[in-house]
Amino acid sequence: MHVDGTEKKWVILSFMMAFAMMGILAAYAINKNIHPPSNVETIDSTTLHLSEEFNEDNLGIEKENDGSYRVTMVAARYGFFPHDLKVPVGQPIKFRIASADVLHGVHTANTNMNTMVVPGYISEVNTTFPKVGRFPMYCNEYCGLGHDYMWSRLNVVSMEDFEKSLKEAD
Amino acid sequence: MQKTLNNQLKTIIALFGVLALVVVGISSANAEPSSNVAWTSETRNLLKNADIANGEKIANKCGSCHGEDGTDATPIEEEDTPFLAGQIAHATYKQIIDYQDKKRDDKMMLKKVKSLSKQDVADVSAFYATQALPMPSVDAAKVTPEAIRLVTRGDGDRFLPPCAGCHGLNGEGSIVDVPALAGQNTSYFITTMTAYKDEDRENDIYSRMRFIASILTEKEIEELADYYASTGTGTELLMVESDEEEVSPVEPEEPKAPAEPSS
Repeated sequence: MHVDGTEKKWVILSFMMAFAMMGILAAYAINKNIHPPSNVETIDSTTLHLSEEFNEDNLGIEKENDGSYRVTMVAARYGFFPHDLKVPVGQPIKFRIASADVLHGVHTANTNMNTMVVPGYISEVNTTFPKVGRFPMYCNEYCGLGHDYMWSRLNVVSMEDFEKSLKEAD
Repeated sequence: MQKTLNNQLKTIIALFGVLALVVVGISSANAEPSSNVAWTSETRNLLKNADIANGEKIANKCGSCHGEDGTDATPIEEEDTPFLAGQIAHATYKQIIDYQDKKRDDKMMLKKVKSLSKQDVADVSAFYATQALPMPSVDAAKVTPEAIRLVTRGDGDRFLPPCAGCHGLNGEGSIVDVPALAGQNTSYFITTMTAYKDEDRENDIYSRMRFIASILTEKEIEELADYYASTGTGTELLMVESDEEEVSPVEPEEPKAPAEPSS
């Protein structure tokens, strides 16, 4: 089969560019320690609201024995539950998120909080929010007609305000 | 003497222990789901394989309140019994099971449905789903632009998603258990939304409707009731948004006058 010289050069160049980009991505991932979520934990999405951990009354933020915080959240068409979440600034927080129906994503604008929530699995994200502020939380995986309106609010507050809100809640 | 005192002390400590366990038990019992209905394949199959004829027989007993075809015959202003005709089968199924489980508090409904088996509930729910949605009972002219905006766009400032996102633009509802609202009588709509707002009704999983109703004002609830009562069988997409910011009802096109023959 005859391949024109110019065409051959472009084919080689295209392959080289693709391999170069793959190399850059691999080097970046290794250097910055970026990896797919390592937590593989299954849960039945259809009975999520009947489970102990993802029961409606158990959603929200809890302090762990080691002083860190754990947030339990549910993503379901079309919202994140709880709708309004208050977390302390500068504290290690573990998010545990499950979907009650279809594939969702949780993206918190202007933070590094971003994960896919696959039905049947519990997504886990460990993060610390360095700045006080109010951040919108969006679904970034198309999940149905109401996807555009699937949002929630994350309030990162000072430790003092956080403790105060906990006391008020009690 | 000392031994007796020790025994009494032990008894008191044991009683406190039992009391503590009871308190812990009660507090963990509070973490109850809002509904026991889960859309497992077993539950979905009950509805998929429902016996419509048996459902119709059961529905005959519901006719005195919900009407023979699932639409209440009494004037809507005086009655807040919901229309069931054309309702999504899964939605009707969930509500009846919630009555049985006392997740939705209504003594009269509990009395009516407690003897039904799960298959009976599926059958009657499937029967109502085969009926046509009710006819509109409110004139479309009564619908306010604010209601149209809430249905089609929601209110981002108040974190209110549009009703149409789940219930559909025509209020047709969707599977699995998002109920149809089209043609629903206004008094039932207002009663239900107010119950969610006041947290008198809590069988919506993960507080979906309690959250939305808590943001809506009473006036908005009434306007939305009119919107949905103006939809139903025989109505097409009732409202559409124009290109401009303003939202307006669809005006029927004026028939064009035939062109004057040129002389």
